[in-house]
Amino acid sequence: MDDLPLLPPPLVSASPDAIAFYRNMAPVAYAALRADLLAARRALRRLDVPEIVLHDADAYVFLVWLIACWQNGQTALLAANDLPATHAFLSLPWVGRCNDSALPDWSGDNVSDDVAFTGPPPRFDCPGMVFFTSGSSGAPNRVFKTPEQLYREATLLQQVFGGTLPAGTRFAGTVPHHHMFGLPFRLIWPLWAGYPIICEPFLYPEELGRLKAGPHVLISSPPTLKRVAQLENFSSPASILATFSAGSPLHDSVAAICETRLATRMIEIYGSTETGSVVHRIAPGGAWREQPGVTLALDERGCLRLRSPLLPDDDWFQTQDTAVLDDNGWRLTGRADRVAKIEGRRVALDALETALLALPEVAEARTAPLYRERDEIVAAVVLSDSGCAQLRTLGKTKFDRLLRQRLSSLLDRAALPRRWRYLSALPYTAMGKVTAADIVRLFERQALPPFTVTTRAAREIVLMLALSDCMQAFDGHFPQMAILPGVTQIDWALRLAQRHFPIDGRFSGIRQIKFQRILYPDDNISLTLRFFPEEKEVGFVYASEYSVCSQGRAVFAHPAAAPDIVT
Amino acid sequence: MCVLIDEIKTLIIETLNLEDVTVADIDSDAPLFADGLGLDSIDALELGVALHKRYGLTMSPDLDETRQHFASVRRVADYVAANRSC
Repeated sequence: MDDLPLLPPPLVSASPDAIAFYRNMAPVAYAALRADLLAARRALRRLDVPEIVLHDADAYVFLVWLIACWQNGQTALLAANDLPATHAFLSLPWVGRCNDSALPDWSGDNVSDDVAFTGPPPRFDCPGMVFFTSGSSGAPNRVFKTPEQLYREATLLQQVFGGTLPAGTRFAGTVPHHHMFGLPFRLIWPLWAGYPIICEPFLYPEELGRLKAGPHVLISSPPTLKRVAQLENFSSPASILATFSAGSPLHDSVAAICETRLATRMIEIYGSTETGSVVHRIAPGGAWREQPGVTLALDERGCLRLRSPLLPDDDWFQTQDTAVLDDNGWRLTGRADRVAKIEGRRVALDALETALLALPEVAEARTAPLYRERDEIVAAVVLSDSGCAQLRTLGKTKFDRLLRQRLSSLLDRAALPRRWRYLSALPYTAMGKVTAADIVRLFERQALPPFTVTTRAAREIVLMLALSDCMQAFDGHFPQMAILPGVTQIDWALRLAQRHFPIDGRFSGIRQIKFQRILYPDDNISLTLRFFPEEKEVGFVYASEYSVCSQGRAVFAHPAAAPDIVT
Repeated sequence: MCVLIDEIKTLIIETLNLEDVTVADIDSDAPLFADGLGLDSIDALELGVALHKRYGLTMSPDLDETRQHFASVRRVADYVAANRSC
């Protein structure tokens, strides 16, 4: 790999009529690509800054800007999205199809006669792009890559997997192109090796049926493949020679169904933003094999260390992924940093999730530590059909307990999840990952105000609410004025009533509701709850020192049963 | 006693921040730990502190004795009624 070509070879040598891309299923020839690159290069030079932010959902536009950046020696920061928060975080000039008319656009430069491509070579020595990874602390980390690292990866992928791919094989993908799986696999490899690229990602598995006849490669990830495995009558005229999966572990059961249904060869990739691809295996069942030039070792904690031609230097790179080496080769076993400290005890989240997945009630599970007043583990679970049926029969509280009970023979009770959410699907990101932050977000709840009990009897209780200590409840109703929304008043009354009275039923409605005076955070407010067991009702009255502010009656007439599953 | 039992159930829910659990969900005679409500050792610790704060109770350092008082909500209520200092 010492004699680096100056540019993706097809950019220089391919016939002007040869097809480089399919955009909206229409072919884009190399002549058009070359002209667009020249125009993009000029636009970027006019911008005259060392760094730009690049985001474009269109893979063609994205790749043109990226190569133009490299040729100019500019650095592209690859933004994962176009959200206002990302713009605020990256306050540099943005290029790509953002909704900003001041942004550079190459379309004004109509240079279509630049057929012989004579652009400058990429500046291999400059950091050509910056990726952002989700740091374990929550703040994104920057990972610099040179164009040379991407070129080496493209060469390596063609060497390992290209042998069975005839010329003209189209590259299709279900993953975004701005990260270190999508970019090298979906765009850089085919661009360097001269395979045409299908720009539009296939976001839903059904869409794969729209692939045309002919040889294809599919770049995908477990969330999509899991849904492919659920499609009963899937058929596609395309022949998908190979399907690559990365981002999270691909279960053998899913790989086996996809292999049959797509009539494809399933290849699972393990790697990271920092390292590029490290090992691959044929799924289901195959052992992990190192990519050419990669050396693996384990540290004293059982974590993988590696050297790779895709790394910026020849040093060992330390991962937090644990692995074992046995007679069948390498086996990846989890992540070392997924160990939570709960009240001083170490809890291996991977082991906990494995135990959860082994239960017949559970189809998918993700756990995370939550450090609030007390350290605890929370679990987001997708239930199996039998799990859903039991949840409906038992109700959530008893079902939570059942799951804890089942796990308690395997794990220390203090290491078990204390809070549960039952979902129809886990919150996967576009990259096919579930982040701890997204799990924790499921457990955020509007806090009840601090209160003291003034009087208490069997059927009546009076609480003094410290509203000024519960300010978030006042947010977002009226921007200029802090007042307590009526829905919050009702929510508090219901939850506090269920805490204090043995109410045998589910909330079914509200009657005689009156909002007579607005509640402000500085008010000294009492809440009186009165329980009427025969009527299955609870009366509530919010009052200040001087007058009643609101009142109503909550009816608990529905039989106690399971809540609906959160979607 | 009925009021005290509900009061203790509320105390358990609030102290341990038990989500989705209502007073009606807690059986007065079911074990609090292990198979019943399924509380753990940290819960026991927090509950002991809360009972001390609310009723001035002191938990015996004798684990077996404490375990007996914590057998069920009704047993906790009996113990509170007999020993409360506030």
